[in-house]
Amino acid sequence: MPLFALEALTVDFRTDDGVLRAVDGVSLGVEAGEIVCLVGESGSGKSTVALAAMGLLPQPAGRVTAGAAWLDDDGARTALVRAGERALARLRGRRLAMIFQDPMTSLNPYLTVGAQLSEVLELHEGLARAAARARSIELLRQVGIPAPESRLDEHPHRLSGGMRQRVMIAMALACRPKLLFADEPTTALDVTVQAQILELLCRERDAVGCGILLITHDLGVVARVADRVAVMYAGRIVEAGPAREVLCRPRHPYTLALLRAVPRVDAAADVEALVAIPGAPPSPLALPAGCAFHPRCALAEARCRETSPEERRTPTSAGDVRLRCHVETRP
Amino acid sequence: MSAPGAARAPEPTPPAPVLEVERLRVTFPVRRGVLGRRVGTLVAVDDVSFALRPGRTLGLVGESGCGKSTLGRAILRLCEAESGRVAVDGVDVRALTGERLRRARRKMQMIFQDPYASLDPRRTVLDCVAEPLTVHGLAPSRRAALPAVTRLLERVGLEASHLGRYPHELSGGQRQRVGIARALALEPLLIVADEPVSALDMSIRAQIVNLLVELQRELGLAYLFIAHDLALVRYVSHEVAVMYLGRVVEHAPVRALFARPFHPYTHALLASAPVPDPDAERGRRRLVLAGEPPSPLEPPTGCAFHPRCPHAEARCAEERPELRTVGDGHRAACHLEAPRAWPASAEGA
Repeated sequence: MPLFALEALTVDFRTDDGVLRAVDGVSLGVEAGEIVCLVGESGSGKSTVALAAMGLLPQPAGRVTAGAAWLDDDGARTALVRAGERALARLRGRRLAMIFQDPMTSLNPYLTVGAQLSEVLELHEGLARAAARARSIELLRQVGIPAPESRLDEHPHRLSGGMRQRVMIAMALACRPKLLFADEPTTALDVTVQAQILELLCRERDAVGCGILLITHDLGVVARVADRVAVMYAGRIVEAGPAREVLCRPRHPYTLALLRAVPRVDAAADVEALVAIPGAPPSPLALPAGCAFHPRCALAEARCRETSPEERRTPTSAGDVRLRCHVETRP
Repeated sequence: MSAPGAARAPEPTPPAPVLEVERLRVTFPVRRGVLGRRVGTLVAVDDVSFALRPGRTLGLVGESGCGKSTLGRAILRLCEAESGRVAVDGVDVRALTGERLRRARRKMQMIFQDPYASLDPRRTVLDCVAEPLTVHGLAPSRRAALPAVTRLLERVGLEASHLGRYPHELSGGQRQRVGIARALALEPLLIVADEPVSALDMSIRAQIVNLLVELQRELGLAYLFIAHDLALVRYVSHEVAVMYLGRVVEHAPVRALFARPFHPYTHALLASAPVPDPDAERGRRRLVLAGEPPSPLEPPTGCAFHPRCPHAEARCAEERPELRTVGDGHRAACHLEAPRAWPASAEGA
């Protein structure tokens, strides 16, 4: 039993222009001690996946219309979706936690850093005030905040973006969750700070053995930290598998096209001309028939315009690769 | 295939620079309290000098707050410099006022990060692109500008059917194309592009970047390309300048900078940027630069990088290193004799 499993999760949003399917039949697992990256562009549904699993979909517009999400809670298989607010509140913080791109969405601007950390520790861990303060200092030190004692009494807006992100990570890690959702945690940060935060997440995974679902659009971040990766396009996972397999031998034309469209900083590789992907990602309100990527795909054939490809599995030495494509690139 | 930037050979007799920046310094007053009393001075850009020739791109990189955007804005006189010289096409633009400044502005245009914020939401594409033409008297009316606007849209990959659309009806990539068409309308010599693709989706970025490269080839534009994405800067630039806390700490031809970075900060930036290849990532040195850039309100003494530098010596805290030549066209501001590898203790797990 994996730590976390999504089974054919489907999420619909009601909008003024009609019902849109943000996530369509997404299945995905995260094992303990594993970092799984969910990659996609804006509107691909990658963030909605985590929000749905956390019970944080915007209400009343968003609804899980099919499928399930499971968490292994010390051997007990616990349903996350439709679990009810009270059951989810019990799990959040203690068993699963989430960090967002913008720390100010989860930090309270009116409370000091120390008050927010202590609240989590008093509520979930039942620590007394003095013990909570001591543990807060330890947590801030752990996430690389210098002079943590003096930071406890500061308000979040006094901190730099990188420091705020660390405070949010410290809050997320406060109760040693088994599963961490991280939605673009480094996108707003400078590259040297990004490197620090990624190291921090990897260290936490190594120390506690938690599973991390990292949502990102940056294939470099995937290559640096992911054990496995799932690529989303228009609400569906189009390719998933071991990170090395997917990035070094992409089978889906979309994955391949993305890799060719991003420049690389390393001097070892020759600089190649970027190959742009024509067009733009489709609106979830007006998805193309057949494979949603076909209007932008260099390999599209007649059947790609007519039928949506089923998922196929290809075994590799590092694990299965799942692919939704009629054609498949040839390496 | 070769880099659109790096592979082009330098021309035999270099034409006169389009842009010359000499010892430019930009400061902002720091005010406190309800009366806004001036309590200090923030030096955003300090002692920056470079020249840019037609058809060339200078990439400007650095972390947030390093002054790269302020430098771009000061060149275009969107903010005023305290001292130094900015010459565009040989004319000192800092000395100009009124009509002469307006005429000089035709030669230098800007492309912004977020085209949604830089385009008026109540005006159509035609209005947006025609405006510079009518304002500068190149077309007597919007209607008279129509043929020119249509040509510009075509040139940036849009169609005549987009003329009547409003910005919110366009995708992010299309909006940025409108922003580019608007910048091209006055046939500028110099374009300052400040993070022109960082608000766009991955699959769209390459379209816009390749468009900018094509336009440069065709029109001989000079670009000051400001970005935090080193890989992107490597792709589009002929030369790169690295800024730290308001100063250029390294300036080199693009190949030299990426193959033989001199300044320890440049080393750290390059090592921090991830590469979309797990094998390459595994083989790379995981150098993690500790701490964050210091506040420009309280800059460190000596070399601004010394508190984070693994090689810092006593003199680095005392004496500010000036930019000096360390290779062919390669300058760095560092007291070290030669570039040094980061010590193992400074590397991450």
